[in-house]
Amino acid sequence: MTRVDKLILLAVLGLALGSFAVAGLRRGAEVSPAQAQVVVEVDGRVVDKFPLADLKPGERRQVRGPLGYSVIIGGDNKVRMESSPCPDKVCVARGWISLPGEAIVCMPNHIVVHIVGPASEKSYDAVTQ
Amino acid sequence: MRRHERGLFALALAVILLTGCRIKGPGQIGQVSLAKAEKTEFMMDTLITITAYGPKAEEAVNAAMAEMRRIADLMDANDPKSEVSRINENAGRRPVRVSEETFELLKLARRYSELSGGAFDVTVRPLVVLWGIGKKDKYVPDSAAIERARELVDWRDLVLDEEAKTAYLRRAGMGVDLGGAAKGYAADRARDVLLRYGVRSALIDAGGNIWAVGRRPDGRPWRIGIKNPRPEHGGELLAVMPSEDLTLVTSGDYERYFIKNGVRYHHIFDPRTGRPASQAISATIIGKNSAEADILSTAVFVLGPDQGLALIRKLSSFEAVLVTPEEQIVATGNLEDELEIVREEGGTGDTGR
Amino acid sequence: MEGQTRRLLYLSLLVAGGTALHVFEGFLPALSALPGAKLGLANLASLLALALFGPVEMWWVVILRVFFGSLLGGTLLTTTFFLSLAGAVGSTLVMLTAARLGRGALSLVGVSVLGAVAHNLSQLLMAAFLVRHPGIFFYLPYLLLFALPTGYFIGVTASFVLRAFPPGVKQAQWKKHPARGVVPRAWNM
Repeated sequence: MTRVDKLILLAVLGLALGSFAVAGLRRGAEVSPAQAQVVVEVDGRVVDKFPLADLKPGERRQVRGPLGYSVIIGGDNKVRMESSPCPDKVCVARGWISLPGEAIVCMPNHIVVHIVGPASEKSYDAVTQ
Repeated sequence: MRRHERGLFALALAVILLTGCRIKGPGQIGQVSLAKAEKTEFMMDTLITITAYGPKAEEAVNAAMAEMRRIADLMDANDPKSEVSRINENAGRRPVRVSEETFELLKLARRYSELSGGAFDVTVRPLVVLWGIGKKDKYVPDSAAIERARELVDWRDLVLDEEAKTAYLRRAGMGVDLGGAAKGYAADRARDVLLRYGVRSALIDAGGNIWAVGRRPDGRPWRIGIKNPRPEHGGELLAVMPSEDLTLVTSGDYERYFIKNGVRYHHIFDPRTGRPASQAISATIIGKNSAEADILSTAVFVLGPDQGLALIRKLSSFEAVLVTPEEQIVATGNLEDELEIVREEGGTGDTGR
Repeated sequence: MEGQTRRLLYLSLLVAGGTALHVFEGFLPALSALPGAKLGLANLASLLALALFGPVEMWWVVILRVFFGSLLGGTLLTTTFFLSLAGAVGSTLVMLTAARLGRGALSLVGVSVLGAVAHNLSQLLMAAFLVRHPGIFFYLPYLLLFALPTGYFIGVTASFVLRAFPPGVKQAQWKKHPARGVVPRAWNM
């Protein structure tokens, strides 16, 4: 390894740690899981949205993507991908998510399951009155 | 490979083999977003907010706000220095030369006064002054006073000279009021400014007159809520309209009003009776021109569901949603597919007609 | 063997090896919960092509490897294919640029780490485009961190393998340095 190689390693490390810091800052205020909403998107379209608390432990919901049905399952105020027809199962390996901003992404089946807090839950941008 | 490099190599190998472990991390790294600029100012008796996205968003918002301020200063009937005030002072005396903008809007307002059969009347000022809603406290004028003021309201007596760009009110005591058009017109002008600055995504909120410019920065249509005129029945919103390049203007009886002896007196008058209109409690117009939508929301509010929606159908470039005094939602047919009714049940509403 | 034939032989071997590694990596279970996080085993072949021959040969190896690998893995023209392609093209562009700009100062390890970062970033961008959801950038810091050991590992392995090549194989643009491994010499593109 040359000196420049080491500099590159350090720079990438710094960049990674820096972006962790940014992610941490952007996380913002804690939202209690009870108020969090689960948003399910396929190809960027919201196909389902429900309060996290409504998904009881063990309760399943099917999401249809181009490869077939992926199944999400509820836990104690958390949700994970139980099964998916995708080849790599990255989404299943992701495990539970429970906090606003967390996401499960299944790229092969074009599915994103993510959690939003009540603040971003607002369903409109402006009101005519 | 030197010894410490061998150690590093082993470490890298170990890290790779161990990454089967779950990665769990909150937070969302910033979306690739355009520059956003937002500004709020008070003018025309209301709060104006412009939000724009684009490379020159900041400059665009400042310029658009300045343009709105300029229009507001020309047309504010409550400002004695405005062009509109000068027309009113010189009623029955002489024509007043006005700016291109004021002339253009007066012409439009006069045309719609005619189209609506006087349900909207650009010369409504005497009634506005008489009732003084929002200014005088719970004041209901007597019938004789109302009759005298009503006599002075007639758009036919507004003479506009295209050549000389002058406006003239034939009788002393008359007055034009662009309150029902100026906010929309100013929003149109602000939109033009934003577009000139290359803004493709913006939201202009002129005290409830909304211009949804382009789409949201995330590529989806703007979602514009329509206020529920009776939030105690069914929540804040009546419906949500996914909007791309659309303006929405609402006239409601809940904006400026007082209740006396169980009767609600609000600020939208029927020029034909001289009293607050009672055929509707809210009228929303959706279209591509905010000045016209502003005027039409008043006209439809005054005309009520039957004549009001008939007028909109005749014009064909606008859609309307109206709430009757019985809290029924009625809308022009083309809207039914797009409008998402969100008023909670328990209200008495249903769509259609 | 004649020079041209040998060149062709080695290139074929690199394409074959890259394809095998590409398919093999596809068979591995999800290595981590990160979409787009790959060991980048197939990048070994690309790095060797770059070190032994040059940019043009590297492009051949990369593109053929993605194509054959996806064909054999049954992912041709699926989401996985486009992700692979984006990662491969992105990392190749960055590695070529790095090797060219950093000639003399940069060894295969540095090139490989930069390639791994670029690989993950391009996959992420492609993924964000495919699922049309910016939330996927949530994975960015993890992917950056992940690129470090994988890039290093592949780079070091490539240096090793390069040394094992018989001296007859042309290594025109690169020279072996006794202490620093294989570093690029004059670069003529």
